[in-house]
Amino acid sequence: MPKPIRVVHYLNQFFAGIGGEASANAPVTVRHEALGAARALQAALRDDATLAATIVCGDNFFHDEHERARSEVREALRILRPDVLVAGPAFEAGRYGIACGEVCRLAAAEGVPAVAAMHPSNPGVLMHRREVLIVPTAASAAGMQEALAPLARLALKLARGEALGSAESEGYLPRGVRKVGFRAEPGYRRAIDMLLAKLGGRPYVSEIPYQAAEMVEPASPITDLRRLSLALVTTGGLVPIGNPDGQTSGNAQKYFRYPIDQLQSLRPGEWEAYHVGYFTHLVNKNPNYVLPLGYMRELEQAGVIGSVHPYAYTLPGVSTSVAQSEMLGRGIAAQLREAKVGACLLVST
Amino acid sequence: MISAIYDLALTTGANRVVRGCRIEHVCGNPDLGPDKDHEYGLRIIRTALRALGTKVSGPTLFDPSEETVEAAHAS
Repeated sequence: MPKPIRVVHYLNQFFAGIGGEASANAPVTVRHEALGAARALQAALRDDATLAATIVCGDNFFHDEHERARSEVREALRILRPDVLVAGPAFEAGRYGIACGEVCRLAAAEGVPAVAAMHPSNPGVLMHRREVLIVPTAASAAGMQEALAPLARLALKLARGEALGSAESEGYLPRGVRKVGFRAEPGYRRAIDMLLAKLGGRPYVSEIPYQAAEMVEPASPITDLRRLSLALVTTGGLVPIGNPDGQTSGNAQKYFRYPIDQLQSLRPGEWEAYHVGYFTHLVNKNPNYVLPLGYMRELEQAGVIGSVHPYAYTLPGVSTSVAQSEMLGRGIAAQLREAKVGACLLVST
Repeated sequence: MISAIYDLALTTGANRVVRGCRIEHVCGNPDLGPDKDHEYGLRIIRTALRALGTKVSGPTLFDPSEETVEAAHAS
């Protein structure tokens, strides 16, 4: 008789049945039974596995008492030693989704395979999609039943140590991991078949899913330039010569800001472009090509604009994912907003 | 946004896009010689300022070739 599979379920205060927002500060508790939504997971697992325990943590507690929550969850996993951990479904709940992703990573670090579930737009996906197996769900708990079936199936596969197929076939969100394999038909034939199907109005499945860009509401126009504080930003990877802060040449993980208030323009020999995406020799000869400080000063001194913001922001845009770019953009915008900057010029290479 | 690859900027949702010269020299053109390079760069920046003052409803391209060249002075 094979050893029964033991599953541990991580839930937040709401899905464990403890309470709503008022209980979001609930500390980490471990109950050796299926609580709340864990009972539904047990039903989905049927006789193939036992729900050995439910780990519950309030959404606020997990983030506010971050270190304590993480170490308590880790400790619980060490004691329980389940065959697999299931976290969520978090649907669109952002704090919960982020916590689910982190708990899965904690489990993996303890040698416990893990799977989470949440809506694709959950910030937990943005933060953890590469490292964590995530089953996509509907936006609200109305989609609980639909979410549990693939979640249970994947949990059992992980617990049994079975190899996983592609994201498409197994029903989890693509992690961006590329596996080399063979297809029945060469690429050009598949492309032509797809095109013919598309032209003929027949269904087809894209091999590379297209993600439409998010449309952003345009900012209101500036009414008086002469009172404007304007910031300069570039993704051209401009840095002070010698790259003292170690900006990478691509795949920006952070942005940099440099004081320019004492400068009339950017001079060659004082700045350089550190960026693998374009041939930087001309920018090195005239850094104003990507950070047009010289022109801005002329217009500032002529009274056309109010002032140039004392800090210029730079980063190497090449090979930086959309999600990462969004995070960096929000960071820069927050700083500019705090400094009451009215507008910015972003020069992109 | 000032970009030489303005089509990409428009498609990916940048709302105010100013056409830059080339990737290697977005705000100017060294081939024109220093005076005309400077004039061109200034024109690109003025176009950017015009874009900032223009109401737009979605991704919109602003072309510096439509900008009138004038000496920088307070209006």
